[in-house]
Amino acid sequence: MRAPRQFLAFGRPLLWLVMALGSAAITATSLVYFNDDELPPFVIEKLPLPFEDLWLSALRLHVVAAAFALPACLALSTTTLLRRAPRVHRWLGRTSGAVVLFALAPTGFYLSLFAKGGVLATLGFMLSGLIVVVAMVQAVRTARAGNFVAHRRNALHVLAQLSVAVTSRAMLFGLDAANVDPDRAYLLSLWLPVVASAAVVHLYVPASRRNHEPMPEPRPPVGRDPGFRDAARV
Amino acid sequence: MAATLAFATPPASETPDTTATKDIIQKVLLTPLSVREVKQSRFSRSRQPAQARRVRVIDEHPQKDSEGKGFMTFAIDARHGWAIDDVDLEWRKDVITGCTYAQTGEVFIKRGAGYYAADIMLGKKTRAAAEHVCVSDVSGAVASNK
Repeated sequence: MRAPRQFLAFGRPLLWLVMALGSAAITATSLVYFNDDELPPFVIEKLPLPFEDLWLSALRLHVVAAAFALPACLALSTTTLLRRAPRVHRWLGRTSGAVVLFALAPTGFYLSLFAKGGVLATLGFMLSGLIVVVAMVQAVRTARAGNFVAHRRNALHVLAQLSVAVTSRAMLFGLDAANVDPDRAYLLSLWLPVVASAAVVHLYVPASRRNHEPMPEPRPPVGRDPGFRDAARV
Repeated sequence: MAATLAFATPPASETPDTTATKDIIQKVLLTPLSVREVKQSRFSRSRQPAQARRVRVIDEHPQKDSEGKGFMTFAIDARHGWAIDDVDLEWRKDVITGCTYAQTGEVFIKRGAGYYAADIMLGKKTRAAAEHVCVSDVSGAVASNK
């Protein structure tokens, strides 16, 4: 299935911009989690929690990891970075992989155990986390194997799930404005973006070269850049 | 801006105790909460601030805890959504429940199995209140009836 070219031409940059702004807004509003004197509303409504200090530490690590991972994945998704600075793309990708696999996902799994909305919310967050972990591992493996079509697809699965942070918050705001029951709104604004994000990538991002648009030709390396020739060959 | 208001619901029987309880809740909890919520980010997974709140005092007269102190239980209902003028809009019942001690002016909020000082709603770290807080001393009542 192919998305219309016109949509891709305008939709992609617009979506990218919305996600970048959303990520910045989340980071800005998450600074309150590092204020020791005052508990933010998100924490207050969960109290009392077992191992409250552990939960708060996990939340803080999760926030820091997400503040890096989403903008980093957005940057990695641009062809400009890939074309002009393939080495930066690779190192940013490696760093993002480490941050996602060793900080974002583990803390996310732990936090999901105490999610609002009960078991269904926990399952929703866990599904999202599972997609992120599997896709990130596959993205790393396929990049190392030089299969850049599969790498792109897996990396976009990661980005799509990270973007749920933005879309679900936007949905929560809208559903509250419509006075939808908060528990239902919370589950809806979690599951819908998680499933839809996975479905969009699954349907619209090619899995193999046969139905894939040609990748942008990387510019010739300026300096010595091991691995560049492999990337150009695929 | 979200306008958080405490509506005085028409009680079955308004007594001086219920009026005093509502005043305490307004002063200790709802007014500071509405001030705090103005600053709250709307782009968050936390509950959006209520557009309106109303207080229902459950007890007509104070109950006594095991230390002999009188308290009144209450529930706060909330309305969300932008169509705040819509009279048919549903109130969410018991969004906040707790009790007040009129003598000391303290307000406690029920959280999980315990009660916490109302400060917890305002972002201040508080420990769970003592076990007797907001718990009616049934044994005392039985003993006094004998």
